[in-house]
Amino acid sequence: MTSLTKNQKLPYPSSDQEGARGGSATQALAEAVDARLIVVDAAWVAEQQHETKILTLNNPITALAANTYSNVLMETAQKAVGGNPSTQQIMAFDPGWYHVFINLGVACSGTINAGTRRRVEARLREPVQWDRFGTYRETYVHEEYQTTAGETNHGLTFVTKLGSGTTMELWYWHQNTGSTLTIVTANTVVSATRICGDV
Amino acid sequence: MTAFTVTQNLPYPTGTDLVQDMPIHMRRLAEATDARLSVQDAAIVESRNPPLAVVRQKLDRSYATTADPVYEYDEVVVDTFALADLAEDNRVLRLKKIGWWVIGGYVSNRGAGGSPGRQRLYLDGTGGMSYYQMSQSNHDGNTSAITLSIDTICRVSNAATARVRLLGNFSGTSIASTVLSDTTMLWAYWMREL
Repeated sequence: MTSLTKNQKLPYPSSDQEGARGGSATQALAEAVDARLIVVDAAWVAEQQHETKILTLNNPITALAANTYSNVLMETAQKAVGGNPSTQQIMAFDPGWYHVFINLGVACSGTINAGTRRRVEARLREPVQWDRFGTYRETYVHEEYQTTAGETNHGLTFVTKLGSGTTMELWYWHQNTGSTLTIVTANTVVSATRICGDV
Repeated sequence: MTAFTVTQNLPYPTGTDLVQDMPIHMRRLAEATDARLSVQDAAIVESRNPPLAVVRQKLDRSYATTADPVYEYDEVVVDTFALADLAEDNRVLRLKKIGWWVIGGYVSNRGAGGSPGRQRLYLDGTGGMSYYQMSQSNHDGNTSAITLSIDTICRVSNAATARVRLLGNFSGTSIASTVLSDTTMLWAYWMREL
Protein backbone atom coordinates (compact mmCIF):
# COMPACT_ATOMS: atom_id res chain seq x y z
CA MET A 1 0.00 0.00 0.00
CA THR A 2 1.30 3.45 -0.92
CA SER A 3 0.89 6.47 1.31
CA LEU A 4 1.27 10.13 0.42
CA THR A 5 2.93 12.97 2.29
CA LYS A 6 0.65 15.65 3.63
CA ASN A 7 1.43 18.67 1.48
CA GLN A 8 3.26 17.63 -1.66
CA LYS A 9 1.60 14.23 -1.99
CA LEU A 10 4.88 12.41 -2.43
CA PRO A 11 4.45 8.59 -2.42
CA TYR A 12 6.20 6.27 -0.03
CA PRO A 13 5.62 2.59 0.84
CA SER A 14 3.75 1.98 4.05
CA SER A 15 4.08 -1.78 4.34
CA ASP A 16 6.81 -4.37 4.50
CA GLN A 17 5.38 -5.86 1.38
CA GLU A 18 6.23 -2.73 -0.57
CA GLY A 19 9.55 -2.61 1.17
CA ALA A 20 10.40 -5.74 -0.73
CA ARG A 21 9.71 -3.83 -3.95
CA GLY A 22 11.97 -0.97 -2.97
CA GLY A 23 13.12 -0.32 -6.49
CA SER A 24 9.70 0.58 -7.86
CA ALA A 25 8.75 2.52 -4.76
CA THR A 26 11.95 4.55 -4.99
CA GLN A 27 11.26 5.24 -8.66
CA ALA A 28 7.75 6.44 -7.83
CA LEU A 29 9.10 8.81 -5.20
CA ALA A 30 11.87 10.10 -7.46
CA GLU A 31 9.47 10.75 -10.31
CA ALA A 32 7.01 12.51 -8.03
CA VAL A 33 9.81 14.77 -6.74
CA ASP A 34 10.95 15.35 -10.30
CA ALA A 35 7.45 16.39 -11.37
CA ARG A 36 7.05 18.62 -8.36
CA LEU A 37 10.37 20.37 -9.02
CA ILE A 38 9.24 21.14 -12.56
CA VAL A 39 6.21 22.90 -11.11
CA VAL A 40 8.39 24.81 -8.64
CA ASP A 41 10.83 25.84 -11.35
CA ALA A 42 7.99 27.09 -13.54
CA ALA A 43 6.58 29.07 -10.63
CA TRP A 44 9.95 30.72 -10.05
CA VAL A 45 10.33 31.60 -13.71
CA ALA A 46 6.83 33.07 -13.77
CA GLU A 47 7.57 35.04 -10.63
CA GLN A 48 10.65 36.62 -12.17
CA GLN A 49 8.66 37.84 -15.16
CA HIS A 50 6.52 40.60 -13.70
CA GLU A 51 3.96 41.55 -16.27
CA THR A 52 4.99 44.83 -17.81
CA LYS A 53 3.23 46.82 -20.47
CA ILE A 54 5.17 49.57 -22.19
CA LEU A 55 4.08 51.97 -24.88
CA THR A 56 6.38 54.59 -26.29
CA LEU A 57 5.75 57.28 -28.83
CA ASN A 58 7.82 56.79 -31.95
CA ASN A 59 6.75 59.82 -33.94
CA PRO A 60 5.97 63.18 -32.36
CA ILE A 61 2.38 64.32 -32.40
CA THR A 62 2.38 67.79 -33.89
CA ALA A 63 0.08 70.78 -33.82
CA LEU A 64 -1.90 69.92 -30.75
CA ALA A 65 -4.56 72.45 -30.00
CA ALA A 66 -4.08 74.55 -26.91
CA ASN A 67 -6.65 74.94 -24.16
CA THR A 68 -8.33 71.60 -24.71
CA TYR A 69 -7.68 68.00 -23.80
CA SER A 70 -5.91 65.88 -26.36
CA ASN A 71 -5.83 62.11 -26.20
CA VAL A 72 -2.22 61.12 -26.72
CA LEU A 73 -2.81 58.14 -28.94
CA MET A 74 0.04 55.71 -28.61
CA GLU A 75 -0.59 54.10 -31.97
CA THR A 76 2.95 54.74 -33.10
CA ALA A 77 4.37 52.67 -30.31
CA GLN A 78 7.79 51.38 -31.16
CA LYS A 79 7.76 48.85 -28.39
CA ALA A 80 4.82 47.18 -26.79
CA VAL A 81 5.50 44.43 -24.29
CA GLY A 82 2.07 43.06 -23.63
CA GLY A 83 0.52 46.35 -24.63
CA ASN A 84 -1.99 46.85 -27.35
CA PRO A 85 -0.98 49.77 -29.57
CA SER A 86 -3.66 48.94 -32.13
CA THR A 87 -6.28 50.02 -29.63
CA GLN A 88 -4.32 53.15 -28.73
CA GLN A 89 -4.61 52.27 -25.07
CA ILE A 90 -3.04 50.07 -22.49
CA MET A 91 -5.45 47.34 -21.54
CA ALA A 92 -5.99 43.64 -20.79
CA PHE A 93 -4.11 43.58 -17.52
CA ASP A 94 -3.54 40.48 -15.49
CA PRO A 95 -5.54 41.57 -12.42
CA GLY A 96 -3.42 42.95 -9.63
CA TRP A 97 -1.61 45.96 -8.24
CA TYR A 98 0.53 47.90 -10.67
CA HIS A 99 3.14 50.62 -10.53
CA VAL A 100 2.53 53.03 -13.39
CA PHE A 101 5.17 55.38 -14.78
CA ILE A 102 4.43 58.07 -17.33
CA ASN A 103 6.73 60.61 -18.88
CA LEU A 104 5.31 63.03 -21.39
CA GLY A 105 7.59 65.33 -23.32
CA VAL A 106 6.15 68.46 -24.86
CA ALA A 107 7.74 71.21 -26.90
CA CYS A 108 6.20 74.53 -27.73
CA SER A 109 7.40 77.64 -29.48
CA GLY A 110 6.28 81.22 -29.63
CA THR A 111 5.48 83.40 -26.66
CA ILE A 112 4.97 81.48 -23.46
CA ASN A 113 2.93 83.46 -21.02
CA ALA A 114 3.74 83.19 -17.33
CA GLY A 115 1.66 80.64 -15.57
CA THR A 116 0.73 78.52 -18.55
CA ARG A 117 -0.47 75.13 -17.55
CA ARG A 118 0.79 71.67 -18.48
CA ARG A 119 -1.53 68.90 -17.38
CA VAL A 120 -1.01 65.20 -17.95
CA GLU A 121 -3.79 62.78 -17.10
CA ALA A 122 -3.88 59.02 -16.85
CA ARG A 123 -7.50 58.00 -17.03
CA LEU A 124 -8.55 54.56 -15.86
CA ARG A 125 -11.82 53.16 -17.08
CA GLU A 126 -13.71 49.97 -16.34
CA PRO A 127 -16.18 48.21 -18.63
CA VAL A 128 -19.79 48.16 -17.56
CA GLN A 129 -20.91 45.73 -20.23
CA TRP A 130 -19.09 43.39 -22.50
CA ASP A 131 -19.39 45.73 -25.49
CA ARG A 132 -18.82 49.20 -24.07
CA PHE A 133 -16.69 51.05 -21.59
CA GLY A 134 -17.85 52.75 -18.44
CA THR A 135 -17.05 56.12 -17.03
CA TYR A 136 -13.60 56.88 -15.74
CA ARG A 137 -12.88 55.16 -12.46
CA GLU A 138 -9.87 57.21 -11.49
CA THR A 139 -7.80 59.95 -12.98
CA TYR A 140 -4.21 60.55 -11.95
CA VAL A 141 -2.73 63.90 -12.79
CA HIS A 142 0.52 65.75 -13.18
CA GLU A 143 -0.08 69.46 -13.38
CA GLU A 144 2.37 72.32 -13.38
CA TYR A 145 3.02 75.71 -14.90
CA GLN A 146 5.82 76.60 -17.25
CA THR A 147 7.10 80.01 -18.17
CA THR A 148 9.58 79.20 -20.89
CA ALA A 149 9.54 77.78 -24.41
CA GLY A 150 11.32 74.64 -25.51
CA GLU A 151 10.85 71.07 -24.43
CA THR A 152 9.66 70.22 -20.96
CA ASN A 153 9.10 66.76 -19.53
CA HIS A 154 6.33 65.88 -17.15
CA GLY A 155 6.43 62.80 -14.97
CA LEU A 156 3.53 61.02 -13.35
CA THR A 157 3.69 57.93 -11.17
CA PHE A 158 1.20 56.06 -9.03
CA VAL A 159 0.27 52.64 -7.66
CA THR A 160 -3.18 51.32 -8.41
CA LYS A 161 -5.22 48.18 -8.94
CA LEU A 162 -5.86 47.19 -12.55
CA GLY A 163 -8.14 44.46 -13.85
CA SER A 164 -8.60 42.47 -17.01
CA GLY A 165 -11.10 45.02 -18.30
CA THR A 166 -9.32 48.17 -17.18
CA THR A 167 -8.31 50.59 -19.89
CA MET A 168 -5.70 53.28 -19.31
CA GLU A 169 -5.54 56.35 -21.53
CA LEU A 170 -3.11 59.24 -21.63
CA TRP A 171 -4.45 62.77 -22.03
CA TYR A 172 -2.67 66.11 -22.20
CA TRP A 173 -3.89 69.65 -21.64
CA HIS A 174 -1.74 72.49 -22.92
CA GLN A 175 -3.10 75.77 -21.65
CA ASN A 176 -1.55 78.72 -23.31
CA THR A 177 -2.36 81.99 -25.03
CA GLY A 178 0.86 82.78 -26.78
CA SER A 179 2.54 79.71 -28.17
CA THR A 180 2.02 78.88 -31.81
CA LEU A 181 2.83 75.20 -31.85
CA THR A 182 2.76 72.35 -29.43
CA ILE A 183 4.34 68.98 -30.01
CA VAL A 184 4.14 65.92 -27.86
CA THR A 185 7.61 64.59 -28.39
CA ALA A 186 8.98 61.10 -28.74
CA ASN A 187 10.20 61.37 -25.17
CA THR A 188 6.83 60.03 -24.13
CA VAL A 189 6.33 56.67 -22.50
CA VAL A 190 3.66 54.88 -20.53
CA SER A 191 4.45 51.76 -18.58
CA ALA A 192 2.72 49.59 -16.03
CA THR A 193 4.52 46.93 -14.03
CA ARG A 194 2.67 44.40 -11.93
CA ILE A 195 3.66 44.36 -8.27
CA CYS A 196 1.44 41.52 -7.09
CA GLY A 197 -1.95 39.91 -7.54
CA ASP A 198 -5.33 41.20 -6.53
CA VAL A 199 -4.78 40.99 -2.78
CA MET B 1 22.26 4.32 10.52
CA THR B 2 20.53 7.24 8.86
CA ALA B 3 22.72 9.85 7.21
CA PHE B 4 21.76 13.26 5.80
CA THR B 5 22.56 15.20 2.67
CA VAL B 6 24.90 18.11 3.23
CA THR B 7 22.84 21.08 2.07
CA GLN B 8 19.18 20.12 2.40
CA ASN B 9 19.49 17.70 5.31
CA LEU B 10 17.53 14.96 3.55
CA PRO B 11 17.77 11.52 5.24
CA TYR B 12 18.92 8.32 3.59
CA PRO B 13 19.89 4.82 4.79
CA THR B 14 23.48 3.68 4.93
CA GLY B 15 25.14 0.30 4.65
CA THR B 16 24.31 -0.84 8.15
CA ASP B 17 20.57 -0.35 7.70
CA LEU B 18 18.33 -3.33 6.99
CA VAL B 19 16.63 -3.79 3.65
CA GLN B 20 13.33 -4.56 5.32
CA ASP B 21 13.40 -1.09 6.89
CA MET B 22 13.31 0.60 3.50
CA PRO B 23 9.67 1.73 3.92
CA ILE B 24 10.70 3.62 7.05
CA HIS B 25 13.63 5.28 5.32
CA MET B 26 11.58 6.16 2.28
CA ARG B 27 8.90 7.70 4.41
CA ARG B 28 11.48 9.83 6.19
CA LEU B 29 12.95 10.92 2.88
CA ALA B 30 9.51 11.66 1.40
CA GLU B 31 8.43 13.70 4.42
CA ALA B 32 11.70 15.62 4.57
CA THR B 33 11.42 16.39 0.86
CA ASP B 34 7.80 17.39 1.37
CA ALA B 35 8.80 19.82 4.11
CA ARG B 36 11.59 21.30 2.01
CA LEU B 37 9.34 21.78 -1.01
CA SER B 38 6.69 23.37 1.19
CA VAL B 39 9.25 25.93 2.34
CA GLN B 40 10.01 26.60 -1.31
CA ASP B 41 6.31 27.04 -2.07
CA ALA B 42 5.96 29.52 0.76
CA ALA B 43 8.95 31.49 -0.51
CA ILE B 44 7.41 31.71 -3.98
CA VAL B 45 4.07 32.84 -2.60
CA GLU B 46 5.80 35.47 -0.48
CA SER B 47 7.83 36.63 -3.45
CA ARG B 48 4.70 36.87 -5.56
CA ASN B 49 2.93 38.92 -2.93
CA PRO B 50 5.51 41.30 -1.49
CA PRO B 51 4.66 43.66 1.34
CA LEU B 52 2.63 46.45 -0.23
CA ALA B 53 0.68 49.37 1.18
CA VAL B 54 -1.08 52.40 -0.25
CA VAL B 55 -2.61 55.04 1.99
CA ARG B 56 -4.66 57.97 0.79
CA GLN B 57 -6.25 61.26 1.84
CA LYS B 58 -9.27 62.17 -0.26
CA LEU B 59 -10.86 64.97 1.77
CA ASP B 60 -9.56 68.52 1.63
CA ARG B 61 -6.94 69.18 4.25
CA SER B 62 -5.16 72.46 4.90
CA TYR B 63 -1.41 72.70 5.43
CA ALA B 64 0.74 75.65 6.41
CA THR B 65 3.41 76.51 3.87
CA THR B 66 5.75 78.19 6.33
CA ALA B 67 7.25 74.88 7.43
CA ASP B 68 7.51 71.76 5.30
CA PRO B 69 4.15 70.04 5.83
CA VAL B 70 4.08 66.32 6.53
CA TYR B 71 1.14 64.95 4.57
CA GLU B 72 -1.51 62.92 6.37
CA TYR B 73 -3.84 60.10 5.35
CA ASP B 74 -7.23 58.80 6.44
CA GLU B 75 -7.73 55.69 4.32
CA VAL B 76 -5.80 52.46 3.84
CA VAL B 77 -6.29 51.46 0.21
CA VAL B 78 -4.32 48.23 0.44
CA ASP B 79 -1.98 46.81 3.07
CA THR B 80 -0.62 43.26 2.88
CA PHE B 81 1.95 43.48 5.67
CA ALA B 82 0.50 45.78 8.35
CA LEU B 83 2.66 48.65 7.14
CA ALA B 84 0.03 51.27 7.94
CA ASP B 85 -1.34 52.08 11.37
CA LEU B 86 -3.21 55.34 10.90
CA ALA B 87 -4.40 55.33 14.52
CA GLU B 88 -0.83 55.32 15.75
CA ASP B 89 0.56 57.72 13.15
CA ASN B 90 -1.42 58.82 10.08
CA ARG B 91 1.65 60.26 8.37
CA VAL B 92 3.91 57.22 7.89
CA LEU B 93 4.25 53.77 6.43
CA ARG B 94 6.40 51.38 8.39
CA LEU B 95 8.87 49.44 6.24
CA LYS B 96 8.87 46.27 8.29
CA LYS B 97 11.15 44.07 6.25
CA ILE B 98 14.85 44.43 5.60
CA GLY B 99 15.65 44.98 1.95
CA TRP B 100 15.22 47.37 -0.95
CA TRP B 101 11.87 49.12 -1.13
CA VAL B 102 10.12 51.22 -3.74
CA ILE B 103 8.50 54.21 -2.08
CA GLY B 104 6.51 57.01 -3.63
CA GLY B 105 3.91 59.68 -3.18
CA TYR B 106 1.32 61.79 -4.96
CA VAL B 107 -0.08 65.18 -3.89
CA SER B 108 -2.58 67.59 -5.41
CA ASN B 109 -2.48 71.04 -3.83
CA ARG B 110 -4.21 74.25 -4.70
CA GLY B 111 -3.95 77.81 -3.48
CA ALA B 112 -0.19 78.08 -3.08
CA GLY B 113 0.13 81.08 -5.35
CA GLY B 114 3.52 82.67 -5.80
CA SER B 115 4.83 84.97 -8.46
CA PRO B 116 6.65 82.85 -9.21
CA GLY B 117 6.42 80.10 -6.65
CA ARG B 118 7.78 76.62 -6.44
CA GLN B 119 6.50 73.46 -4.85
CA ARG B 120 8.61 70.47 -4.04
CA LEU B 121 7.71 67.02 -2.90
CA TYR B 122 10.07 64.75 -1.08
CA LEU B 123 10.21 61.46 0.75
CA ASP B 124 11.76 61.36 4.16
CA GLY B 125 12.86 58.20 5.91
CA THR B 126 13.98 57.24 9.37
CA GLY B 127 15.43 54.20 11.02
CA GLY B 128 18.18 52.89 8.83
CA MET B 129 16.98 54.10 5.46
CA SER B 130 19.30 55.71 3.01
CA TYR B 131 18.56 57.44 -0.29
CA TYR B 132 15.68 58.97 1.55
CA GLN B 133 15.18 62.35 0.00
CA MET B 134 14.05 63.19 -3.50
CA SER B 135 12.34 66.25 -4.85
CA GLN B 136 10.49 67.53 -7.82
CA SER B 137 9.75 71.15 -8.55
CA ASN B 138 7.64 73.32 -10.74
CA HIS B 139 6.72 76.93 -11.16
CA ASP B 140 3.34 78.23 -10.20
CA GLY B 141 2.13 81.59 -11.32
CA ASN B 142 -1.28 81.44 -9.74
CA THR B 143 -3.39 79.60 -7.19
CA SER B 144 -4.62 76.71 -9.28
CA ALA B 145 -3.90 73.08 -8.56
CA ILE B 146 -0.41 71.68 -8.61
CA THR B 147 -0.16 67.91 -8.75
CA LEU B 148 3.15 66.18 -8.24
CA SER B 149 4.26 62.60 -7.82
CA ILE B 150 7.60 61.01 -7.07
CA ASP B 151 9.23 57.61 -6.64
CA THR B 152 12.50 56.35 -5.37
CA ILE B 153 14.18 53.22 -4.10
CA CYS B 154 15.37 53.05 -0.53
CA ARG B 155 17.48 50.70 1.53
CA VAL B 156 16.01 49.41 4.77
CA SER B 157 18.44 47.82 7.18
CA ASN B 158 16.35 48.06 10.35
CA ALA B 159 12.85 46.69 9.90
CA ALA B 160 11.83 47.66 13.43
CA THR B 161 12.33 51.37 13.02
CA ALA B 162 12.20 52.23 9.31
CA ARG B 163 9.48 54.72 8.39
CA VAL B 164 8.71 56.76 5.30
CA ARG B 165 6.68 59.92 5.05
CA LEU B 166 5.88 62.46 2.35
CA LEU B 167 6.60 66.15 2.76
CA GLY B 168 6.03 69.31 0.80
CA ASN B 169 8.15 72.38 0.44
CA PHE B 170 7.13 75.82 -0.79
CA SER B 171 9.36 78.64 -1.88
CA GLY B 172 9.17 81.78 -3.98
CA THR B 173 7.62 85.18 -3.84
CA SER B 174 4.18 85.87 -2.39
CA ILE B 175 3.47 82.27 -1.40
CA ALA B 176 0.14 81.83 0.38
CA SER B 177 0.32 80.95 4.06
CA THR B 178 -1.68 77.75 3.53
CA VAL B 179 -2.48 75.29 0.78
CA LEU B 180 -5.44 73.00 0.40
CA SER B 181 -4.56 69.42 -0.40
CA ASP B 182 -7.40 67.50 -2.05
CA THR B 183 -5.64 64.22 -2.83
CA THR B 184 -2.61 62.74 -1.15
CA MET B 185 -1.18 59.25 -1.51
CA LEU B 186 1.81 57.42 -0.11
CA TRP B 187 2.88 53.95 -1.20
CA ALA B 188 5.61 51.45 -0.48
CA TYR B 189 6.37 47.94 -1.60
CA TRP B 190 9.23 45.60 -0.90
CA MET B 191 11.37 44.82 -3.92
CA ARG B 192 14.25 42.51 -2.94
CA GLU B 193 16.75 41.45 -0.31
CA LEU B 194 19.72 43.65 0.40
